[in-house]
Amino acid sequence: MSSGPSRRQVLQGAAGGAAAIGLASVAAGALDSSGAAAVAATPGVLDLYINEGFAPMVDGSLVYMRGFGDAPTDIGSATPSLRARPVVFLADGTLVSSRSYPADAVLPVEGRPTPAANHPTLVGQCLIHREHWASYFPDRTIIAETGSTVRIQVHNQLSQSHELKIPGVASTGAIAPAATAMLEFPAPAPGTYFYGDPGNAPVERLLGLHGVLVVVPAGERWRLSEGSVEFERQWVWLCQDVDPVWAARAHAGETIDPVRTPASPRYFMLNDRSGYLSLGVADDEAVNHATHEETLVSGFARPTDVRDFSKPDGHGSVATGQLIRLVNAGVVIHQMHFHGNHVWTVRRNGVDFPRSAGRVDAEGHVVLQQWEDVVELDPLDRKEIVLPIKRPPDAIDPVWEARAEDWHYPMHCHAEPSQTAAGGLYPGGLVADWVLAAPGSEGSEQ
Amino acid sequence: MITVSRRSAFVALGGSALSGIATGAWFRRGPAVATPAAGRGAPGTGAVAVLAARRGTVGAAGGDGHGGHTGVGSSGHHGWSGTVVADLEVHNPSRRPLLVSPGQFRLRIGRTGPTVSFYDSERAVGVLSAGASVRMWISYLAPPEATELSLEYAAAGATAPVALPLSIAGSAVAS
Repeated sequence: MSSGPSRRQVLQGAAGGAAAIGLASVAAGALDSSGAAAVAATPGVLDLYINEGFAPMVDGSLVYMRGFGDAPTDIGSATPSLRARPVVFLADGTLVSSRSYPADAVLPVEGRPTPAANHPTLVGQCLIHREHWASYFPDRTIIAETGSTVRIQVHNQLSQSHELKIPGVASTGAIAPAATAMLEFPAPAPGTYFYGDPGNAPVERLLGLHGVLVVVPAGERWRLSEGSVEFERQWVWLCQDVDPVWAARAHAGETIDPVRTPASPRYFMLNDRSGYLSLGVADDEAVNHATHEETLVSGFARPTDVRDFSKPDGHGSVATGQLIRLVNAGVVIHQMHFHGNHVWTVRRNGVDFPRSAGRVDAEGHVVLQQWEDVVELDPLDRKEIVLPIKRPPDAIDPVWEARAEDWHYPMHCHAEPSQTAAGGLYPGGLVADWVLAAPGSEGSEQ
Repeated sequence: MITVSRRSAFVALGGSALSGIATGAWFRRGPAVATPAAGRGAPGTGAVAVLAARRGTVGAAGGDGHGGHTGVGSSGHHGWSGTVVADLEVHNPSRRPLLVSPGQFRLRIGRTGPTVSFYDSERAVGVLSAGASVRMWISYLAPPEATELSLEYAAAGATAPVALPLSIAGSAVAS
């Protein structure tokens, strides 16, 4: 039974049409600006533009969104600037546009740090490089070294007032339509911060006006804070929820009452991707490449000692894992569930969990550094965790010793609906994976 | 035997789109069947033609490269093993690039039934240059017994999707 022309026939047919051409990649396309000129860059100042436009979801539908972009675009743009590329405010006062940090560190191919050497005694395990690897960061990330001054000029391109606020740190206050506000503040204490528009909470942040500020100790760039957790490399995982009904209403100019009409998200993203896109298995290799570099945790097995992540391993390195900064910009209580290994929870909302004498807080949360299978992430929560890239405890010797390929472990949100898209497409939501690399695969493709 | 419809349905979206194509050869392929109202500040909108529609089976439809499953009747496993493949042409009559996505097209099952997300497509979301056109096929899972099918095209910023009737005859070429 034949069912129609082959893919080749269809492609040939399309190519034969005089006017028929392909679609240019969204990622590769140049910005289709509004005609409004970007302001002349001031050295050391980050210009952010509050724009609006339509963004494709994982199922291909186009949803109206707002965002802090890095170029002025209007709603008619096919490539609206709705999120800014990562930048770094250095302690010496300079501002650098860079997806990776530190700039002088080695870039891991496909995001995966390779070992310094095989472990001399432990089969299939390695010794890691210490203070060696750069980390890639997703769009919307602003990195600041301690000692730097963060200077952001926010241009409101829209017809209603907006604000950029970093709770507990600084705010522009309301920025009138077509107005510009300057935000300047010294980098706060090392840690992970949320920035967004608090207007009509949570409406504006759900529409896309949000991002992450990462503050790094300038003298200890591979630690969460001075003297704190050391890591091999770090990751930012930004959880996002999208309600297309709210979006359509906002586009129509309605004022949304989040109490009378609560959000009902239908898309759930991790670093602005969902489903197969956030798993690095898209047809677009550029998307997969970026996803591997900035989202999908990967590394070679090594001993890990959570009692002291800087504990010498006796061979010139340390026994640590990789740091993940979890941020929830959405409205869902996300439940980050890791297969393979448990993770070690370090900090919540800028406050380190104690290592002993833990307690249960008023909401029933355990306040203690501990192994966790599921990490709860309330709306606007920020949590730092360490994923130990170690031999999983359920890998018995014959299995471990026969390992000849990468082991992929899922990470998914245990608030199960958020694994879907558009009300049911599975697994189209907030999913990722992490990889325990096969021994001897250094330098090979993932 | 393949089933192919040669009926072309055209939709011109938005006043500017309609005027933009009315004088061109592209418009003369068929009549406009709907002109939806655009929403506030709607971006450029495309003009869409359904060139053909046909049935297939999962894995074979549109040549998605996943290997063909032989179709299993829906009654056997209560799933939809049949597919409907629509061949489309999208034209950008505006002076600005246009974002085009297969996900803007959903298949409606029956007159008032549910709409279905696309199963596979020839092209991913991308930008269509000003004045250019693109052809692509999009496939959908659908119950084999469904006869009344239509596509709905949701232009970015439009207040409502536009219905595009699909003509699929059993095994014959439709008029």
